[in-house]
Amino acid sequence: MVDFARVQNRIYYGYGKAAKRLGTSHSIYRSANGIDPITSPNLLGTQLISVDADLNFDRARKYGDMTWEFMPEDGLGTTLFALQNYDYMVGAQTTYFIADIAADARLSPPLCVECNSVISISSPTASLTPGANTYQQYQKGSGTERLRSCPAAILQYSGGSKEVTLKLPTSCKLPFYQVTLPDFDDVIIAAGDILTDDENRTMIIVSAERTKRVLGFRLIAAQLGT
Amino acid sequence: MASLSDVQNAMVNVIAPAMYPNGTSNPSIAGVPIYVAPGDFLKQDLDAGLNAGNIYIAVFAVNGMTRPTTRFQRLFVEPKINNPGLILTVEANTVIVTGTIVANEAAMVIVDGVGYSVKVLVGSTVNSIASALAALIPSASSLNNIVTISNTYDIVARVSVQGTSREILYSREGVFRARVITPSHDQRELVGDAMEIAFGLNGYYMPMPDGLSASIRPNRVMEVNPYELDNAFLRDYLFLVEYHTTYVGTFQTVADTSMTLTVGALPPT
Repeated sequence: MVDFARVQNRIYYGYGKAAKRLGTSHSIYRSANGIDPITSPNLLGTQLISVDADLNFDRARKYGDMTWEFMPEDGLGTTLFALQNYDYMVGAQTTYFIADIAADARLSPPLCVECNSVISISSPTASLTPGANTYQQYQKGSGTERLRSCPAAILQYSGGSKEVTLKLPTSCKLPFYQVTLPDFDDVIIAAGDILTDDENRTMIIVSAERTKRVLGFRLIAAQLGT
Repeated sequence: MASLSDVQNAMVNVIAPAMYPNGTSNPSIAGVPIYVAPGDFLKQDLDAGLNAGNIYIAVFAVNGMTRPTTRFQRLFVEPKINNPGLILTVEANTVIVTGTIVANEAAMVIVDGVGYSVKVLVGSTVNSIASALAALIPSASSLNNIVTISNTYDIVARVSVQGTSREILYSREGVFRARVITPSHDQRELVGDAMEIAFGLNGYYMPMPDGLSASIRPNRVMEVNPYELDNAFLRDYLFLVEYHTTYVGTFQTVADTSMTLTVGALPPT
């Protein structure tokens, strides 16, 4: 009898067959806390992954969209190991995170997000003691660490730009970005948290959408600077 | 010198003990943690803390509310002279060098109206000072820490020491804000009143690190209500604080008031 599980199983079997011929090797990393996720303790193994815009292999890449559909060698873990949402797939040139795979009640193709940056997020907090305290200020690198060195996708966000505060002759309005990243267990990202990336950009998160089961976090962040 | 930060810290040090009259190991006057700090608290700390019922007092200089009040001549005032470590004792025709070695003091011996001095260096000893004095003074010799001077009718021995004195370079009067942030109106009232009384009992001056006190007077008080939905009930207390930018100079005490003139070769006529 044909049921959802059987159909899903057959679809992923087909993905696997295709990936063995079309895919390239990707290292799969899984991190529970988002602290240095791409490190050897988090390495599950490798799988062949075939990535394409719509799995028809006939559409060129477009600006402003970092999502890809993909076919895993063994998405359900029949012979190798099962993939999960928010696993990182690190290829020779490109790193992706899985935004949606093996949905509970969907047969739609797996979705991943191409990462173009490596980010860290902290929440500015101070160690206060009752009574007198020292000068209260935010200092870069201080606060409660949320994430460290996580690959993520940072794209321009058309929702606006931020007025600079110093207004130097060489100052300009600073852009907002849309940041997409995995939803690690129990890691809550909130408005007001500070994001830094591997391009020395610093941003303040002004909005944090958490899709939770699939897709992960989608943040709106304003770049900071003089 | 006193700076904006010094004034803010001094105000925090007036407020904090009033919030915890029995010390921070005992409950505050409001029964909940009260945090007092210069600067503005971080949003995350405030959001979480106000939800937990905590109280915050932020002390900050109000922008653009400073005026110059410099009005005195630049004079060095309030000299603080160090106690000498070295002791010079005159007995008959000898000077006995004792005491402790303090660098930058000077051992001065005035023989028949002519002064001879030796600077005390790091590593000097009473014996080396006695020896150096004897080398300077005619008809003198030293044995250990005793300088013996022959053929003299008057010996005076003094120790020159260092001291500091302060000069006011500028004076300013600024407006400083003590902002009470509480989760309820009742707490703002309780904490604000206690803070005002604390400043009143503290008096007109607050000690500054350079020793020249800053004067403080209460100014306006404002209740700020637009942030009640954010769980923040504010009351701003403004104070006028006059503080001084000072320079601390180091000086040497005078040990010999007479001047020794030596006649050299006369100029050609």
